[in-house]
Amino acid sequence: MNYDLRPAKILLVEDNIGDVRLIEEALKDTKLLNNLHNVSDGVYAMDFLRKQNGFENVPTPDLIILDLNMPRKNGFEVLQEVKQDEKLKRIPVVVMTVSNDEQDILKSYNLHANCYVTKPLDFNQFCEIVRKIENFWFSIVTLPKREE
Amino acid sequence: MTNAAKNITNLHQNGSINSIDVFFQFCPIPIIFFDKNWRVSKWSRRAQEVFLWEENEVIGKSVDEIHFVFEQDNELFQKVIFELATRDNCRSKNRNYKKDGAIVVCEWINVKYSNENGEILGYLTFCQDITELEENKILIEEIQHYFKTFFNSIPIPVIYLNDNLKIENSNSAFQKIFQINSNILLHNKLTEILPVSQNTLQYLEQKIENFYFSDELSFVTDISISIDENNYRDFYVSFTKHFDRYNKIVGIFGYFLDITKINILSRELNESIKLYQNLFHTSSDGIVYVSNDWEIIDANKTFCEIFEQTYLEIKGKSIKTIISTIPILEKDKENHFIEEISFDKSDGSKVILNAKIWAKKDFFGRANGYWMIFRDITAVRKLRKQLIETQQRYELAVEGSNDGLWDWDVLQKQLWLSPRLKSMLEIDTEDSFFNNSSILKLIHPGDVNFVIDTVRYHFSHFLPFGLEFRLKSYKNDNYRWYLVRGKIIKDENDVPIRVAGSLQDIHDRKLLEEKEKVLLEKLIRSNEELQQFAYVASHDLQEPLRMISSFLQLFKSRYINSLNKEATEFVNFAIDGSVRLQQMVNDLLSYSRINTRPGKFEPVNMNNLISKVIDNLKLAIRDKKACIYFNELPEEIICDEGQMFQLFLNLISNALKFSKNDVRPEILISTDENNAEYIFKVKDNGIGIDNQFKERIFKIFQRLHTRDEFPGNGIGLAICRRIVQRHNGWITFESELNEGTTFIFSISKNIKDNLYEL
Repeated sequence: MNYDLRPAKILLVEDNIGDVRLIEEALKDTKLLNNLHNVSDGVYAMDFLRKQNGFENVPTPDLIILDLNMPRKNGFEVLQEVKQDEKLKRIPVVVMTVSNDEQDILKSYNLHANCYVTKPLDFNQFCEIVRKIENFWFSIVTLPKREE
Repeated sequence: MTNAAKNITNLHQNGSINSIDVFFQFCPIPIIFFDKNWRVSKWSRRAQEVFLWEENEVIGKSVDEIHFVFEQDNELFQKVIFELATRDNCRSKNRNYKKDGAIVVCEWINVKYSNENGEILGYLTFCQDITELEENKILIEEIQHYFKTFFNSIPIPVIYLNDNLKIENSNSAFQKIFQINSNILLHNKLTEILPVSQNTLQYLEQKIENFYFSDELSFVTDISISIDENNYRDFYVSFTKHFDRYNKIVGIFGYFLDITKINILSRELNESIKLYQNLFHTSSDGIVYVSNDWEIIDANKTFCEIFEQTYLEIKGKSIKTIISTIPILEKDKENHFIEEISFDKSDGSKVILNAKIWAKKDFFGRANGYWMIFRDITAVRKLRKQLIETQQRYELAVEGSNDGLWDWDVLQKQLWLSPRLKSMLEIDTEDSFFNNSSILKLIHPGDVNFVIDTVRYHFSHFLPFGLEFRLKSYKNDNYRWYLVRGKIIKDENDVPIRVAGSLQDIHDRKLLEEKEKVLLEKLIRSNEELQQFAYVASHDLQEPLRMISSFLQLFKSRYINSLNKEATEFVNFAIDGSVRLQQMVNDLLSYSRINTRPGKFEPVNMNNLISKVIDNLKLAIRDKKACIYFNELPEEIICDEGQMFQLFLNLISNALKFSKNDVRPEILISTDENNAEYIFKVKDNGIGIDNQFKERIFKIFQRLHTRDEFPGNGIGLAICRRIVQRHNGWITFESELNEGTTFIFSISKNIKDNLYEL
């Protein structure tokens, strides 16, 4: 396996600070925590990814964890823009949302989401899933070489 | 005459003037002797008698001085003077005045009288009084002119044949009718100039010849002469002999009277008489002609039949003996119509007649009898009675149904309204006929275009129509809703002539419909809002709930060691409650999605579907050691497959869940159908349901057991009912406690997306 020596960076697009806190809790014991970046809506997410409007000095993330229900610009719009952007489309996007609506799931995959995860009701399950995501995307999957 | 003058000159020279005096005294014609200056020097005795002047009155005077020459003839006298300047003598004719002013027409011989040396001595004039002669000549001319004008102006063609029977004269009427020039006619025989039909003319000529040599003075005959090929004319011809004063035949006058028109008229008259007789005798009306004294002069066959008499019996009888009720025609009245006369027949039946009486007038306008026409109207009366009864019956029927009737005469643009219709629209007038516009203006302004357009469309397609629109009362502005039905009636040329129909008051129904419509709209809106609310609420509630639950769990796991027993218990309750609430929100979401996120209605094989449900529940089935039976199910019913799956899943899992502990669960799925629906039964041998909860169990979050006994939120059957309702069906159950329950539901065969469902 081809490991990148630099620690992987995650962009968490989530408006609910409770959820941000829960993900932080879940990642508490991993080295990823320090590289977790959080923006609170879709507009900031695109600014972050395109390094504009005050985000000029942020790194390009290795993984995007994307909520669907957000103010200003929702998750579907972010997903569509990312996947249509030549520079950004190779970044894996994990849609993590409270909805288990089939139409939301279908729409996400149609917009080329890399995976869709429903936020579990149980906290322990939630932690478990977050860790599994981390493990899957950074230990199992081979990602393309980063371009900086 | 020159010699005579010389002789006189000689006499003068010889001094035998006495002899000249004698000559002047006795000459039977007037002689005047003028000197060389045209002054009278001698005036004969005869001149005195003719002109009434005495010689001594005129001697030495010029002709002007005695006003001798008629003014208009003065020129002629001057001409004589002029002529005698170069010649010895001349003749002249002019009018002269007598002394009393009367006019004498004179013929003059004027002689120049000179001596041997050629010196003019005077003029000798001899005169002849021709006044009477001239007057006769003029009279003859006038008679000739008079005759000629008369001859040519009479419109009757006339010819005059000479003693050789050749045409001597013809008038313009003759020339005109035979289209012949008068020159051609002259001195020809009739056969030589008339164009056609020689036989007829030869016959005529023969007749004329015979007549000429006979003793008859005149003869007449009828003859038809063809003027040209297409023009035959009939003539009444009359010839009369013309004798001279010695009683010798010198010619024949022929008159041709054109009687073509008279012949045609008489033929027509004959035809008319024949026609009249035919009509009279074959008429279905009884006709009788009576005298001023009501005595029957003539009667036709029908008249005899009506009154059961023979012609011979009634002729000469007074009509009053047959019909006593006949009224007398008033004076100065031309005719009279009698509506009804009844006559009792010999067999006891009654005949009803109407009658018309005319006064018959002769050529001078004097009444000379009466015509009477009797018509048997018994059958018509009977029909009319039936018709009135039928109409009354029909009107009664219509009155009974409360509908108004109308009948629009397209050509007259007139609308008839039945009494009922008039009272519906509060029209008080007596008249039943109205013009279009007075009714059109009762239509509500908002409906009028629609009404006109629709009627016009049906009109051009001959379709019956039924329209709902508002009409206002004739009296005030109160509008009511009416249903107007109409049918177009056309004539044999497919031209619409009438439109007739009914008017029904549907105001109350219409208001109810309007109310229903508003209510329905409200219902749909509130239903949509409710669904939206349920969906949004449950969806958006998820987030904060998960926060509560997650952080409670985090709290518990992080601080469990520092909590006492009671605090742990509280936290557990809170966690338990939040998890349950989450489940309920989820259930609510599923419930609302039945209508907000429906699937398609498609053909589904129920056998496959049940197999899938069973497969899905195989763990629970295995745990409970349950048996599920199902007989042959419909292979194709139209339904929402996902929802149908959910329905059976819920019912079968309920059957498994509410099974008795000590009895092996047996579930039987069966089906039945009728014209309208499929009926499914899911029967179990479980704990049963108390019938008093029949309604309650289908309500959302209603439970019959504690969570400890049976887990669950009470959403399953509510979802079932909602699915069944979406399929236009119903759901119920039959149950006995501890014996088991059968859930029965139906799926409509004709599913429509039902807006009413909640």
